[in-house]
Parts: sequence; C-alpha cells; structure tokens
Amino acid sequence: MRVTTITRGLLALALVGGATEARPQSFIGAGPAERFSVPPAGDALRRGGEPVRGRGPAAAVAPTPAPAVREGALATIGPARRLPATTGGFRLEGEEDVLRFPVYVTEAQSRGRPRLRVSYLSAISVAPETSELVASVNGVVVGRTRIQAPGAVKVVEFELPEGSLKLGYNAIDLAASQRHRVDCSLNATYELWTQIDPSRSGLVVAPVAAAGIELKDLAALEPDDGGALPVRVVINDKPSLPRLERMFHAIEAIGLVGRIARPVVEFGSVMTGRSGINLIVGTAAELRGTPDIEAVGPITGPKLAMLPPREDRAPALVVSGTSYDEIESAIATLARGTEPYGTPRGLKAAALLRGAPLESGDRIALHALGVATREFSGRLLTTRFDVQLPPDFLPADYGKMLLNLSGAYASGLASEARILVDLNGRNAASVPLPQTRGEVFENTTIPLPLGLWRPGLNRVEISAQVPTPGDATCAASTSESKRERFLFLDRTTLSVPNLARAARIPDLAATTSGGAPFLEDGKRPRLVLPVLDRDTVAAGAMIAARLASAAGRVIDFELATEAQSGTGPTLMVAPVRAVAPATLTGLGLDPEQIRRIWEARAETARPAGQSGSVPAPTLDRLRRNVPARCSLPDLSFRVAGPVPPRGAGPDAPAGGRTGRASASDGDLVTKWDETLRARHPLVEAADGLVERASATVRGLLGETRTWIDADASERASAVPPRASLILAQALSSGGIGVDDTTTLITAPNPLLLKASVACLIDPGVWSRIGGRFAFLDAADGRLDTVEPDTVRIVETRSPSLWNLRLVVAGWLSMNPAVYAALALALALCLGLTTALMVRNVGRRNA
Amino acid sequence: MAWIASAAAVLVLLSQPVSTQDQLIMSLCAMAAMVVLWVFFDNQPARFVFLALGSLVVLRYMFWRVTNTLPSVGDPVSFGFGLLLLLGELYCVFILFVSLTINADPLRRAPPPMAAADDAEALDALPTVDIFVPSYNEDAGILSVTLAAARLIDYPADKLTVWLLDDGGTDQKCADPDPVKAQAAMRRRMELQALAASLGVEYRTRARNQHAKAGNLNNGLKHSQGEIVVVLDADHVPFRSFLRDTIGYFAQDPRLFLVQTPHAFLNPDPIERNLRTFDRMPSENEMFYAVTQRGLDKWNGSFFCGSAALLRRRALDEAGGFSGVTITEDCETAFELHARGWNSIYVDKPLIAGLQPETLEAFIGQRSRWCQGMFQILMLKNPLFKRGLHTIQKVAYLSSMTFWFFPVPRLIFMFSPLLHIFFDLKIFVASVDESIAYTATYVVINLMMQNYVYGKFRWPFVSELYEYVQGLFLFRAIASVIVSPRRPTFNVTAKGTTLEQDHLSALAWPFFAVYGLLLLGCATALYRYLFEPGVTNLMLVVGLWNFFNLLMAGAALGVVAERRVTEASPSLAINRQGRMMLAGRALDVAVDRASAVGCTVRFGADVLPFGTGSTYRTGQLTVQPLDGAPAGGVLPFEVGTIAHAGDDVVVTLRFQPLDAQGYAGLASLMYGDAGALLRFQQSRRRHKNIVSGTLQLIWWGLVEPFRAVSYLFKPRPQAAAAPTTDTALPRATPRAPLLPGGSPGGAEAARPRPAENPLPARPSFARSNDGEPGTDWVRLMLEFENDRLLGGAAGGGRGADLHARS
Repeated sequence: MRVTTITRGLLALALVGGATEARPQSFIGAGPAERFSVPPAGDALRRGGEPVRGRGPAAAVAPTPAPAVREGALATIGPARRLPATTGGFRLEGEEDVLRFPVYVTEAQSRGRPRLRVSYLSAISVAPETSELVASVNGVVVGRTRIQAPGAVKVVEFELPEGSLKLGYNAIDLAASQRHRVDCSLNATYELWTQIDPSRSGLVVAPVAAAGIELKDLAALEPDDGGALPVRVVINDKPSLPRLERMFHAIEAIGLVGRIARPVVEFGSVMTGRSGINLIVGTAAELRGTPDIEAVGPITGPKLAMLPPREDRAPALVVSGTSYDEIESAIATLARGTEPYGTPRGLKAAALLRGAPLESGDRIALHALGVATREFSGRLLTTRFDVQLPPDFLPADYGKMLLNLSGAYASGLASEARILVDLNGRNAASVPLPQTRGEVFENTTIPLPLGLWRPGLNRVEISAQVPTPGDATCAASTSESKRERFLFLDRTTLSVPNLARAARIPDLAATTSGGAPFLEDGKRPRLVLPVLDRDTVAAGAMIAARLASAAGRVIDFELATEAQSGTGPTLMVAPVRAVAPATLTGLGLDPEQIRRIWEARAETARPAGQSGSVPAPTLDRLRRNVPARCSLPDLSFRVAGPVPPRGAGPDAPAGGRTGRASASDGDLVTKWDETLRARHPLVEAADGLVERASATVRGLLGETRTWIDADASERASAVPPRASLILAQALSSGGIGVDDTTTLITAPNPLLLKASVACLIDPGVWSRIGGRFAFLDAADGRLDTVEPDTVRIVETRSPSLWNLRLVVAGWLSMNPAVYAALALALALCLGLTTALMVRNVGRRNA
Repeated sequence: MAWIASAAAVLVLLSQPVSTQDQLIMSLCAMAAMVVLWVFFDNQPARFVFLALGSLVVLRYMFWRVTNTLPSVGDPVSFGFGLLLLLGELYCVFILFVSLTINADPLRRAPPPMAAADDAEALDALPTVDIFVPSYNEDAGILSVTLAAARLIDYPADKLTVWLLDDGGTDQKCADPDPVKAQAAMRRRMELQALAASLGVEYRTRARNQHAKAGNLNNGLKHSQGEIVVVLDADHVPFRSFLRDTIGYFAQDPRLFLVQTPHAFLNPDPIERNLRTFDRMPSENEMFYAVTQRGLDKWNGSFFCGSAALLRRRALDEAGGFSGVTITEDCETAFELHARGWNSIYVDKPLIAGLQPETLEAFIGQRSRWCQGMFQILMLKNPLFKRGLHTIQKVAYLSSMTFWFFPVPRLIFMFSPLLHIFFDLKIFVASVDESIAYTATYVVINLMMQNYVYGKFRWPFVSELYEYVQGLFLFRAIASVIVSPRRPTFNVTAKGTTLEQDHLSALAWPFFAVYGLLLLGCATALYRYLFEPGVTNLMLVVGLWNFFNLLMAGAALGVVAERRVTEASPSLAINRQGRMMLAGRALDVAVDRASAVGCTVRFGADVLPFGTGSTYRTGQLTVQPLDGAPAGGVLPFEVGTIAHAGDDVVVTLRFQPLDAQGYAGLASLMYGDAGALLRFQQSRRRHKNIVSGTLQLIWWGLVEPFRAVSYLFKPRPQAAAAPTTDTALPRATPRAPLLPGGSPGGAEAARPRPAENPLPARPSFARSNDGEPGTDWVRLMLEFENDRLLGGAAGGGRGADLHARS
C-alpha cells in the first residue's frame, strides 16, 4: 500500500522539499509561522490555565489568513467525495480516538482505484514519533501516517486497494493514537487532538453525477465542505402554502432516506456543483415551465424521478403528481426508501448514525453499538457510543441503566486509576480499579441513574483512566510505555430497566433528539411560519428535516402562517418581529428585553455573495473545533450600547445549565477537582447529600413561594446578549396535553435565522440542545440552555398501571418534598387508622 | 376498612422506585417527626404514628435492598453470600413486623374480683386448687421453701392441696442397675416423703419416668381432683398473693384454660452477673413478660410457660392432659388448647420468685433446649396449618417459634464483613450515597423503634449481645433439630463446676477465636484502607461494621469470663416488721433484706444489747404477718455482722438449720409480699437511650476483653464431674458472703461465712425476651440412654458436651 503525502500549496515546504517538525509550517505560506519550542508553548499554557478538553492551545494560534490567498490554496486541491457530518464531529481527542463515517458510494464510484484523502490539523502537544493516524475502510487498514500537523493543515492521501469500496454504505474509520511530547500525565492527554478538516477530506472518486444517478442512490449525494447536504428547493415564484408543505415533507424524506444528519436547505434557482441536490416539488401544473421537467416524462400519478446532473446543475429530484395527495404518496414512497446496500460494517455505521434504539428491558452488547475490543497502553482510553431512547422516555431517578463492564487492567496502576462514565457530557459514575495486582473483570456493574439520560439520542462515554506512578516523572522506559494497561471488551453490555413513558414539557432535548412532541398520535403538528420569505422558510425546512431525521420518520407538519390554540403541537420558526409579544411572554421570555438586545441586529443587511455558504475553515476555527456552518454573515452592527460581558450581570441566564464550552470546562474542573481533592470521600458523599438535601429544602421553600404567588408564571428568563437564536418551549396556558405545546425558534431577522439554524443543526450543536430555553450564538456555536423550574408530565400512551407507577415514581423523584410530605401524611393516616383498628379488635385494654 | 386502604396506599407509595435523594429526605423527615412524637406526645395514636413512620423507612429500605442491591447472578459466589445476607436481613424485618403486630397494644388487666374473707358464700364458690410441684433432682432445701410457701398461699385451706410430684424417686430409679444410684433414689424418696409429711404436702411418685415432665404432671392429674391446677417448678417460690391475684379470672370466663404469670428471678443470669448489670438493667426475660406476653394477651395468645401458671382441669382433660410430643410441653399444651377454642390470659405481676442458671454452660444448655423444643413444634405442628387457631394466634405462635432462628442471621451479620475485608467479595451493591440514604437511616430508625417500644425493658444492643452469646452454640442445635425434628437429643447441663472463684467458662474458646478473627479483620481493614492503593471508602464502611461486631464480641468475652458468685443465696429487698429475741430481750426490728440463708435487720442503735455478737450469738426472729396471714414460725438465727448507719444499727442474721415451722417462717418473711419483687424490678426499668446504650456497648467492647484475657491466667476450677450428684441431699456449698451490696456499711468482708448454703448454685429456669417457654424438666427426658451419655461425658473431663448429639 502506498501512502502519498500531499503538501500542495504549502509554499514554505515546497521550497524546502520536505517536512520536519522543527520547521515552521503554515497553511498558506503567508502570515506569521508558528514555532515549536521544547518544552512547547502548550506546556506553559497548561500549567497556567485550566486544561481545556476539546480546545487546542488557542492562544498560540496564528492570525486568520487572508481569504484571497486561501482561495488559491483551495483551488490546488482536487475535489473529493466529502465525509458526512456525524454526532462524533471531526475531532479526534485524547490518546486513542476513532471517528467513523458511513459513506455511500455508487457502483461507478466503487470501481477503479479510489483514494482516501485526509486533511488534518493537530495539537501542538502531539508527539509525531509516537502518534499515528490510521485510516481503514470497512475494517481494513488502508494507511497510516504520523500525526504531524501542528501549524498547518496537512493533507495525506491513502490509496485504497482495489475493490475495497462496495456499492452502498462503506465504513471509513479514522483512528488516532496520540501521545504527548513531554508530559505523560493523565491531564496532559486532554491536550491531545487532531482535527479533521472536512472541506478537504474525503474519497477521491468520480463525482456521483458521472454515471448518472438513480433514486436508490440518494444516499450517495455528496455533502459540502462542512459535511452538510445542501438541498436547493427550486422555485420560481412564491409557492402556495400546500405546495410548500409538500416541499417540507419531501425535504424531510430526503434527509431520512439519505441518513443526512445535516440538511442545509435553501430556496431559489437551480444549484450547480458537485454536492447537494436540487429538489423540485409540485403538481404537474405547478411544474409546467420548469426547465428539463419534460425529462421525467408525463406526470399522471405519484411521480418520483431523478434528473441527472449536468454542468450547470447538480442532480435534481422531482417529486410530483397530479394532485397534492399524489405528491404526498410519492413522498411516502420516497421516505420508505429501498433496502440499503453496503458492506456489513458500512450498514452498521449507517444504522448507528441515529444511535442504537433501546427499549425497556433491552440488554445490548457494546459490539452491537460499534464499539470494538481494545487493548490500551496509554493513560486515558475513552470509548464513545450513541444510543437512542424512546422519545417519550421520562428521565428521572426511578431506575438505573446497568453497564456491565468486562475487561481487564494491568498491575502497577496508580491508585487513582478508575473508570468514569459520562452521559451527555455529565459525569454519571466513577469506579476505582482497586487491585494493585491487576484484575480481569467480568460483568462489573456500573449503575447509571436514569435521571442523567434523556429522550432520544444519548452519548455515552466510558473513560478508563489508567495512569501509573511512573507517569508523573515521564521517566518510564520504552518498554514500559508499550506495556498494555487496560483491556476493554466489547462484550460489555448495557441493560435498560423499565422506562417510564411520558412526555416532559418543556424539554427541548426530547424535541431535538427524538422529535417529541410532534410524533404523538393526536392532532397534526403545526409548523407556523408567520412570514414566508425565503430565509425563514429555509430555516423552517431545515428544522423540519432535522427533526424528521431525529425522529426517524417523516413528521406530517401542517404549515400555517399563524398560531392557533388547540390545533396540535406547534413549532414556530420566525424572526422575532413576526412573533406576537404575547407568544413570547407565554413562553416565559421577556419581549422587551429581547427587543433591547436584538435592536441592533434587526436591520442586518444581506451581505454580498452567496449567503449560507460555508465559512472558510481557518486554522483558528479548526483549532477551536467550531462547527463548520457556525458563522454569522459579516454584519455591520449598529452598536446599541455597551454589551455586558458574557455570563456577568443580571442578564446571565439564571440557573441555566451552561453551554458546551463552559460545560466541558465544568467537566474539566470537576475532573481536576476530583483528582486534587484531598477530602475524604465519605465526607464528600455526606457533603453532597447535604448539599442536595438543602437544595431541595430551598426548592421546597421556592415552591411554597410559587404557590403563594398563585398564578404568577415562571419568571421570564433573560436572554444572553450575544445569542443569535432562541429556542423556547412551553405548554400553552391552560394546555393539558402534548397537543398544547408550543416550540419557538426565533432570531433577530430572517437572515440570521437561517444562518443560525444552519449552525443549530450541526450534529455537535444539535445534540446539546435541552431544557426550556436554548440560546445559540451562531458565530461560534456556543449554546446556553436553561432548565425549567417546573415541568409538566403529560401522558403519551394509553394508561397502564405499570407505566403509571413508573411515571409517578419519576415525578416524585423530581419532587422529593412532595414525596416526603406524602409519605409522612400516609404514615399519619396509617398510624391513626391502626390505632382505631387495634382499639376495636382483640381484647380491650382496661 | 380505612386501615386496609391506608396500608395499601403506603405500600403503593413505598414500592415507587424513587431517587436516592427522595429517600434521604423522606427518612430524615420521618426521623425528625419521630423525635417530635417521642418527645412531645405520649398517647396511643402517637405511638402508632411513630411506628408507622419507622415502618415506612424500614419497608422502603427492604424494598430497595431486595430490588437494587443484590450482586449480579453472573458472579455466583458474591451472589450466594449476598443472598444469604439479604435473607438474614429479611428475617430480622419479618421478626420486627411480627413483633410490632403482636405488641400493637399490650394489654393492661384490671385485678380480678376476689371473694372477701368474710363472705362465706363467695368463698364457697371458689374452685378447688391443686398445686403441683414437680421435681426431678432438686434438693430438699429448695423444695422445702417452695412447698412451705405454697402452703402459705392465701386461699381457703380446704380447697387447696399441694402435691410434690417426685420423678427422682420413681420405682424405675430406685431399681437402677447401678446400686449407688438406686440407693440415692431410695434415700431421696424417703427423705422427701418425710419432708412432705412435715409440711402437710402430698407426696407422689410413679413407676417409670415416661414422658418427662408432662408425664409427671399427667400422673399428678390422675391422682387429684382440683378444678384448677397450678404448676410450680421446684425453685419457683410463690408469693402469698399468688391465687388472690389470679383465680378470679376463671369465674369470669368458663372457657378460660390458662392464667399465666411472669417468671421473676432473684439472681442474675451469667450475662448479668459477669457484666454486672443485675442491679441496673432489666433482666432479659422482662421484655418477654412485661411486653410480649401482654401483647399476646391482647390477641388471646399468651401461652403456658411451664410454671407459675393456673390451668383448668376440664380443659386439660379434654386435650388428654399435658402434651408430650415435644420437649417444650408447656407451649405445646397451650397451643393445642388454643386450637380447641380455649382462652388464655396473662397477669403482668410477678407472683413467684425463681432462680436463674448460674453458669454460662447451664444457661446455654437451657436455651438450646428451648430453641430445639420450639423448632420441634414449628416442624411437627406448624401453627400456620393448625386448624382452630385464629390468624393472629397463628402469627403469635409463629413469631415465638421463628424467633429462635436468630442465631443464623446473627452469625451472618458477624461474619459478612470479613468476606469483603479478606476476600474482596462485594455482597452488597450500593453507592456511598445510597448507603447513607438507605442503610444508615434504616439502622438508626430501627434502633429508634426498638428503643421506643422496649426502651424501658431492654438496653440498646443487649438483644444482639444475648443473641450472639447464644448464637455460637444454638446454631448447631438448630441444625440438629432441623435434620431430625422428632429426635432432638439432649445435652447434659454441666454440673459440679463451682463458682467460688473468677474463671473462664469452659465455653470460652469459640468466643476467643471469633474475637481474634474479628480483630484480625479490623487490623486488615485498617491496613488495607491506609496503605493499599485503590481501596475505597467501601472498605472503611465495612471496617466500621466489623468494628461494631468486634465490640459485640468483646462484650461477649466479658460474658464468658465468669465472675465468682458473691452471694451465697439470692436475696430480696423486703420491707417487713419483726420481733427479734436476743439476749433475753424482744426488739422490734425492720427486716431489710432476706435470703434463704439469712436476713438483715435494722433497729435503733440505743437498744442494741451489749455483748451482741460475742456473748449473745444466737436468738430468734418472729415476723409480723401481713394482711391476715397466719403467724409464721420462729426463725432461729446466729448474729453475723453489726454495722452502724446513723442512729440505726444494721445486723445480719444467719438462720440456723430450719424445721418445717422454720421454713414456713422463712416463706412468710421472704415471700409474704409480692410487691417486694415488683419494686425491685421497677427500680431497674429506667429508659436507656440509644446514646448511653451505645457508649455502654463500646465500654464493654473495649474493657471486657482485657478482663477475659486476665482470666486466662487464672486456674480453671476442677469440674467435679459426678453425675451421681443427682441426689436430694444438700451438698456442701462454697463459702461466700451472705448478703451482698444491699447491706449498708460494707461490713460483709469481715463477716464470718456460713457453714452451709441451702441454696446451692444450680441451673434453673428463665424466659427469654421474646417469649419461649422452657423448663429444667427436659432433664427428665434423660432416660437410660442419656444416663449412659452422662457417664461417658463425665469421663471426658467436662461435665457435658454442650452441643446436641445426634
């Protein structure tokens, strides 16, 4: 196997003729180069500041290169069939990590000698001698390369053996094994990352269009630079509402059948280029006059047809019929799709994109979740997988998932060696590895409280922290550093207890990760678009498609232009001006405050050029792992006044769960805290309990206050000033069921709405949404969420005693004060009735 | 019914799998509410609310324990042990709830109507009474006091017959192939016949020792006609008011077959003596008699405890006399009669005074027999399937029988922590949070409930101590009876050991072994916790549990380190007036304490005759009778010590050998006033709170092992292994001070010792806390086979093997 390293466009390197790590490198050859020094700058940074996981040594980043030069650089790299965005993102973190991409190739693409191109940027701390990037296709290693790209994006290409790609889904794995240059400590492993540049990575194969495209090849549609699938809905004039509705459904169907995590929708004229798809939806009458429409033949019934791509046009899908109903049935056919093709690994990877579905009582082995048995010689082994819980699963501490871990660890580990389990970024369990002589363990049960899970997609991270005492001095010999420390066995299982099934309102996480409450068998869900401009409608379509792909089926949204109560669960996507203040108030938002914050942005002008294009992947963005689509159009802000610093002042979201950046900081702080803490664990546990108990007492007092305040609804929550998008959910006043929920997605103006939604649906951002409010800053993908003070629990299925019991248990777990009060009251009843009864039975006391 | 509704609601609520935090808050609230109820409310509803609150936490704990904490089945070893521990805990909770049910509302009875002495018609209506005093090997001294006191019982003389039913002088015994034994039996028969004649008591023996005590009593039934039968063990001396306080109930209820009264004791059991708690801690059996039997009485479930009870002959005749299938014939008899629809009642007033076994060996032997007997009934006549019993009666009997299963869980709890400490087994799966929220609160609440219900009668952790001390030995007794329920085999109570010096019990070694093991466990846990990397706080928790067990085992070491008996014969504080003839003068004196061998008197120092104790060494004491009793006989005495207490002088008197009249006088002095014993018991019934109880246990646990170790170096007393001491003759007894602590002035040390003690140390009868009958009479089951065993064991150096043989 031949490995070709391509360093085109790297002027400096071209001059020298070879890369060495001591040489300054830069992406475009212009701008100041970074220098390495030993100890590298990253080391000093780490000591000075808190170690940041998921963030490189950002301080040492070179200024963003000038766009003009970048264009030139890009032009020198040939096009490739890019990798799709997944929830795993594009970053390889820690000592060992794997990214897996299911890539669908057509018959034509699988022939020949394809190559796999990988562009990456690595953290400065990654030691090239001991770090390696391994690419495999369908489980066969196709190439290895040293990880050596701290200063500039490096592009490598691996030639694939003939026949390694098959028609349909193929699993492409990028695995990184990374070691720190100078620091062998556990915490140093958090500095290790390699960022894949999605815009310049992919399979170097013929464009999907080359040999024509058929309906069954929808999944072969190529993503854009950011891994998203552009969907251009072709319109000539303003479509009618029913037609728009069919368009939405068709977009949802495309997302589903193509397993697209990220459909970027635009409305307009036909799109050109290699990636994406044009979508033409309408009745035969409506389509009359559309270019090339004759090619699909006469439309006499439900019609689905692909128009092959041309120079001036990406492939186009025509969904038509003589009536809207026929279009609807064509969409149904589309959504059903065909039996998926692919290699077993590829199919599995594709199936796992939405996480493995779990139900009450399931017990699933991790190898079924795409996790492989691994031997490990480093300090921190993280294993990640996604599972999909029912959308109406009620998360609360009425039960536990049981992780039955199998594996082994070597002798001579440091005493702090342990296994951590994180759920959705929150620590759920910590299990020490106590035996100094090592141990082979089978079925070590780690309980994971249900309260930390959520409906829909959940990300589970099992981290084995296995430092040795020798790590502290980094003095260990080579043989020692090669010694296997930990064995993770894929026969580890996850058991699901009986889950309570009921909807929690509000819960944005349930909505975004599982499509709740729009899946309930009640009234049709309603997507309200008060203004029908292109951008707003595109935003709405993206949301609809993303929700459908989360739900795993087409959501039969009914489009409307105004909200009406009692018409089914409502999703409103609109610029804030189009939202009635009463609606905002009803959702717990303060219209006045929103107006104040967004005043300056309301007048954003559409920038020149194509809106919605992917922002150029600068080094800085790559280092910071900013989601590809998360950038706002260059805006000329009319600064309305001093903007208070984030997180300070009364505007900070009160009591909110922090967003990703700070959440991961929080994690790190917790981890550091845990490692540094010298306090006794029992004291700690007792402390924790006391804390929680007192929090409950405070909560109880708060509740009483709320009761006293009678009807006063929850305090309006303050919106962070930098937010460019607000998600909010609430039960409309007087509402009783899921049919009465309102979910609002709003931004200062249509343009920002579309741009922000494009960022929002990035799998990395989307999966963090939760709570009652979510505030997105689309400039960098930062998300703040606010948990609700109180939630309503709404029945979602026909009442059964068994489920009711679990739901009640869940509710009581959320309301300990009520539980305690109830228990005491019942004890009182029982005591008094016993006294009464005892007096009347048996012999009477004198 | 409202109760069923609220109980169902509670169960539904408790079966909710709520969060750990909920549990913690609920438990803490319940605890706070319980404290408030305890401190501020004192009435029946508050009591039930208190118990309901506690039950809430306990049930919740058990629900969690069963559903959440078992190790995975994939690890069979841990799972097996985990299940065992869980079963042990389930048993404890079962016993807790059953006993709460039974003790829901202990009955307080009004005294029965009693015919006035001048109401001839009423007196006429009184039933005729036969008092049976069965005996097997008790000596004449004991029997004299008992029979004399029985004769003194306040009841029309023509309606009262006292029977001495002697099983030690049967024809079978007199014809023993061993001429020494045969002669002893014949001598016993003659001596007791003479004694009976002098005291006005009927003597009866029989041909063969068949069916032990039940057979002996049935023989008595056959030869007597009284409507009511009173059973008194040979060393259970009745107070004068015995019948006055009990007989009236029979007229009220024609279906009444039993009136049971408590067994109260004059001397400490080995645990009380060795830990020196007799004067301040309620006896072990008081919990049974003062709470459980009263609780049973509410449900018509109080049962016959072998002695100190009245039975209706008609009922016994209907059932074919006393039952003799098992070795606890008393409980069995009551069981059968309850099933036939007869009623029983319990009178909570001590009306007899008995004696406890002196040595630990005797004590354990006695408990083994009760335990085996109750298991026999459980296995041969399971109360659950007994027709005729009410549900609650079934529960009551079931509780009394299953109670004896305690050694198994007790030992499980003792040894479980070692599994983790030594072998790293995880048999209890829980996080620290959960352990605090569930287990810790459960332990505290459980202690609170027990202390609330039994606080006046049982110090905290004393039950556990008794259980552990017995558990090590009863374990095998249980095993043997379960293996062959129809053939329980008997151990022979060790005899001949003297208690005149401090020594280690012959049973001590297992306790030392366990203590050593637990100590090793503690050391290992500490070492591993401190120095072994990766050992977590779980080890600390388990280590603390083990340390608690170590304290318990340490206290038990104090129990096996037998202190010498400081009192020649158990004494009782009485408050009687008498007239002392000394130096030719008659002095009015107050009698403070009395025992079978002497008494202390108090009078003004100014009337003390000059030369008392030297010139005038002997005199006579006449006791002023109480409420209409006939004047008792004259008690000849010898002056012992003389001490001054303020204006008074306190003189100890040693009785000279007594004749029949003398015994009547002694009985009248010591057993004339039942209030004396009650006052003594009441003086010990002070509430002991959890904190001081815990401190007491810690103190014992820390200090007693040192005393036990120091006893290791004291010579073991020679066991006078002589089975032939089964004789009616009083034995020469150890010399010991006459009267302990009760005498003012601390003058005992200088006191000359009595030459003879008519009440030698010997095993006797007691009742355990939760209520099992028992009797020394199981000895009667020792027929020929056991006699042989006895001989064999005697040759082995130790009086007997403690464990049941199979």
